[in-house]
Amino acid sequence: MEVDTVDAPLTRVSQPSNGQLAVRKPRTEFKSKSEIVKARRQREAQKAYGRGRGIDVKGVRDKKLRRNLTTLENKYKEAAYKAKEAEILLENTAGFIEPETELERTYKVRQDDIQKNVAIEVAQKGFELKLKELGPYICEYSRNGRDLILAGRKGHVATMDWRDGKLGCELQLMETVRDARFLHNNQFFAVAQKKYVYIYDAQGVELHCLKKHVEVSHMEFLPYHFLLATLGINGSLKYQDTSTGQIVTEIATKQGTPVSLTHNPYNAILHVGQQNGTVTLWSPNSSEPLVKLLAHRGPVRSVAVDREGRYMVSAGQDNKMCIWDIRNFKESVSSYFTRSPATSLAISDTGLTAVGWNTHTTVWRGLFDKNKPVQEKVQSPYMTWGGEGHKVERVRWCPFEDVLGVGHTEGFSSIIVPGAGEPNFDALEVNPFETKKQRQEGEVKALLNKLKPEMIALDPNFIGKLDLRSEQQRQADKDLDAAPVDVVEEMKHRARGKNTALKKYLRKQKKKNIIDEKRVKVEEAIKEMQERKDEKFKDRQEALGPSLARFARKD
Amino acid sequence: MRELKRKISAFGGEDSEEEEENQGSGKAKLSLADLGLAGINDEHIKKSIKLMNKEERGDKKTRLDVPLAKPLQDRNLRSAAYAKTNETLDRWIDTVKSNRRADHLFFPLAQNAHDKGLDSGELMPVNQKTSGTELENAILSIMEESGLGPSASKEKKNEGGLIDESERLSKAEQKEIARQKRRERELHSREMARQKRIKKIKSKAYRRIHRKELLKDEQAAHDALVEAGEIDSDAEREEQDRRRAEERMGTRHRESKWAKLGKKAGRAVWDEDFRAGLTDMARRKEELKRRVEGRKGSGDDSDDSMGSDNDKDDKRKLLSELNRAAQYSDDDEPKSGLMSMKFMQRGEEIRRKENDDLVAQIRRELDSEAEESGEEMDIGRRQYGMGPAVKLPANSPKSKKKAAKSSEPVIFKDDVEMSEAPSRKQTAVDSEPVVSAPSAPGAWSRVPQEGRKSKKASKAPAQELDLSNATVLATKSSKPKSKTAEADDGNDTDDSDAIHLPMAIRDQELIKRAFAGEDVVGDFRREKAEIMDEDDDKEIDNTLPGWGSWVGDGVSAREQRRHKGRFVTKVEGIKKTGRKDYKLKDAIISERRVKKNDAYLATSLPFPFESQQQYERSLRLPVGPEWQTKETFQSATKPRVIVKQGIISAMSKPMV
Repeated sequence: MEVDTVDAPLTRVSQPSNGQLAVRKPRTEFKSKSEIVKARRQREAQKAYGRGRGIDVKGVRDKKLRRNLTTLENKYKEAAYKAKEAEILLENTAGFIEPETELERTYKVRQDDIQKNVAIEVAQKGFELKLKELGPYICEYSRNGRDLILAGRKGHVATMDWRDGKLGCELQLMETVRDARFLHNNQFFAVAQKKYVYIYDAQGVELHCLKKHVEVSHMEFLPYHFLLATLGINGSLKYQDTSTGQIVTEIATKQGTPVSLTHNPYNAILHVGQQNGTVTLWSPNSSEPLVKLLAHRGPVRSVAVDREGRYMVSAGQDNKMCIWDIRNFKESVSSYFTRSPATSLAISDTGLTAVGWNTHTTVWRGLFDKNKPVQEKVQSPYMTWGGEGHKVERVRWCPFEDVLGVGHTEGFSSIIVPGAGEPNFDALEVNPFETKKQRQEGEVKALLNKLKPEMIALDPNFIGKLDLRSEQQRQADKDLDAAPVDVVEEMKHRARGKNTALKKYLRKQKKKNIIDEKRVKVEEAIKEMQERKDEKFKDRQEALGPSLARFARKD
Repeated sequence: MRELKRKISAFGGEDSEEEEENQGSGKAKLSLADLGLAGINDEHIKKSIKLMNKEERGDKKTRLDVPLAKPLQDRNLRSAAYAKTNETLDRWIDTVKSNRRADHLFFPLAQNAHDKGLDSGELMPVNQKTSGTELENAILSIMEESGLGPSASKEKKNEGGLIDESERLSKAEQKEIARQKRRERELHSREMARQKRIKKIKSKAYRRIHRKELLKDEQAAHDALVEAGEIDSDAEREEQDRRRAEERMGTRHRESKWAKLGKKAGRAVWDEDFRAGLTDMARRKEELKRRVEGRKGSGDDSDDSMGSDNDKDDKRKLLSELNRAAQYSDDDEPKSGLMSMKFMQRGEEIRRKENDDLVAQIRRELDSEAEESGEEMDIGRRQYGMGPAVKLPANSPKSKKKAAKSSEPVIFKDDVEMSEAPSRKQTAVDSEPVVSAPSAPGAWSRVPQEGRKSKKASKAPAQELDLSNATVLATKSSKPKSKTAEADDGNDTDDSDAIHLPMAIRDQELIKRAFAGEDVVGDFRREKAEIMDEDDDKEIDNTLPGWGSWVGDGVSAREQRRHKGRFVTKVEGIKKTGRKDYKLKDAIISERRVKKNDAYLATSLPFPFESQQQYERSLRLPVGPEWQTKETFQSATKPRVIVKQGIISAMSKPMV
């Protein structure tokens, strides 16, 4: 027998259909227009320059602390506001090529069209170097974008001030060159050759041969730490301090021959693309990878990280290009396809991504956008270049310029990509127009501000934070096998003036009149020393004989 | 005396023994009646008798207290001095606090600056009165001629018709106003005014009486306590002594530095403050003297006599005032027509009755008080010489003037209100657009829903969108164009755009097949599981085989199993669910602590902070010039104390 049951009504009363909108935050109090504007600006400033959430001042119990923290918070707010206000000083803006109609495509624009329509000065930045014999060429720019290093696989290395077309030095090394890189400025560069890594100066004089770096395939330079990181064919990762010359760490990656390498400019972590499709993240402080990401099904051909350290783009042998949010290690958008495996990736300051694949170079705009809550998939590229039969070896963006350098089998091409470079440079950071003197001063300053390799971590803001280990844990972590500190030895080796540190210690302690174990030991040590001295003196006296004994040296 | 009495009694024929009895039982006082002199009328004798009486009464109280012991006195002095110094020091507390809290301190101090007191503010506009120099005058006259001077603007203002009405009014109008005012005054009832005055007197009298009663009650209570022995007279005395010492410390006495310096400089001539200080000094000295002489309370003879003197004056004053209030002065007589009306007169009559009653009542009260005080009047030392000058009461003509004045500004008040009202309106108008302007577009009330939509939108399309797909679509849309353009660069377009979809798909499949041999994903999962297990909590079996059991051949597997897991230690690790990569499919995040980084961690929470959050968030902003504007950097690195070169004089007075 069936019983009718009362079902839920078919029509549900949903939102009011008369076009009403609920007002979340009704504004009830009156505010002057200037106040509203100021509050808005403050909000904008906080978003752009505020550094995370503020201190909860209301919960502070101590009055004095509360006041101090409130003033501190106000200072921070003021600082953010001032920074926002100072934006008025940023006189240049980046501009992209914009299509006028829906049917127009920016990737249809060819280099000839751009060169015809821009100022001569800019047009001159697009050029081509035909170096057919010793290719394929790799290219790297110096940090301020003034200098360019070109290295052909067959041993041709050249540096140049590319804007003036002035050649810095040219070397014929007559052996395989796998990678080349500028160090902290244009005065030094490192070249990974057939067996070792060599360091040359701007004139092309060989300064160092780094014999510990064997068969290096990839190199990276960490400018704030003065670390040259090399990745050997056998998978050994080595960090060398270029200011002191010491090797900081040697790590065996144990993942087979690495395929690609890049560094995250935000936290100086190295991203290594492996044969098995993973990207591993390394710091000089741990012997195993901090993070392992399964990015591709085949070898990871190239990796690039944006300058704020938020997004990583990787390209693999499986014809895919993935965009990763490396703050939480999630893939931010489903992956893109490349028509053939990409050989090189580079991300510009404004977030343009250049992909070199086969004979082509594609530039993508808006692969990731930090201001969007959810990343969207881009349907078509921003610009394309190539297809002229030379295989692309490496693509690199020139800092502070709308220029993309492409090293390929036939030489080097510099192409103009509008909107690629950071329009406003920070002279305290890197100055593209620096004089010799400024360069020298900058070098000294950079050395003074050099960061220690131990400061490298996934979160670079960890310094000064609270150690949250329990006391028990700390005790457990202590090295119990370490020899106890010998007081006397420590004293002896302390920096000292004319007198011994031991004596100085005793002298200071005598006033205090505290006799403890340490002091007793020190006294004994001094007594011993004195006795030895006396003995030596006696020996000397004896050696001189009775008549000349008085001329013996006392000490 | 006894001798005398005995003789007298003998003279009267009475028995001396009886007298003896009397002495033993009653008091040994000899009254006039005893002497048979009750009915004496001689004035001289009366006077002496009165004196005698007084002496008799007084000798109980006139005995002076023994002064406190020296150390006690000293202690009181010290504590009083301590309190005084504290008071002077406390005046600096605010200054010290504000200086401690200040971000920056500048020396020399602003209060010692050479231009202190000079007005560095904006210059006020120059007009005829303030223009001092010739140049200013000349410029002003030129301005005036061209109609730009201050007077021009004034005229404009006056056109608004708000201020300076009295100037522009004609004489007739002014007269009219005066008449109006007078009428108003007359309307105010005469009897009412009288009532007011009487009430004032009454309240004065009441207060006086009350005060007296209060004091008396207090004294009585105190006496009772003393008698009961509840109040330790020593403690009390000490208390009083302390009070006196405090007073002494507080006063500017004649020998003080202040007084001497003032005298030397002749400050009394020109310094109002100093003069006030002098009178204050005199008053205090007087009080102190009184206090030193005896106790402060009203029981004291000298005080009381003075008090009664004062009282007398007061009373006299009150009475005279009352009399004046009771009478009608003729000039008060109203002559208005209104007052001649019947109902007004009736009302006036009632009021007058009430007033008269009131006056009578007050008189009664005052009289009764006089009777009461009359008993005590003669007690204590008599004071000669002039009493304190009787102050004349505030005379009524003055008050009348005041009343007139208060009625006068009514007009101005109106004006003010008139002028205020439009301004208020203006502000209202000003504020309106402020409210309406932003609300007009209504953007802020709308909830942005783009984010959600985009989320859905991004989810909706196929997970893996082919790049070549898009390019093909693009070429389709631009086909007509490309046909025309083919002639120019047909070769190139062919190369870049002519990609066939099936080919791409085939490629993908090929790729999949190509990488099928390597189970990359499986390897990764396995590795992750391994690492998770490794980091997880572990149980370690510490049981030694053979310890408490048999091992070797012949022992059954069951027996061996029985002896496993007897001593287990648990090592805590990181649980699988607690891992950072627990929800991440494609990532393995190492959970190992990086020991080298520990050197840069704070080992414990630094002192003033109460929580980790407070401490870590207070380190948010870097200090260097690279990360902030120059202004912020400079203000952050500005030294706390800034000292200008030269002699820095000390703070002369509290700054706050």
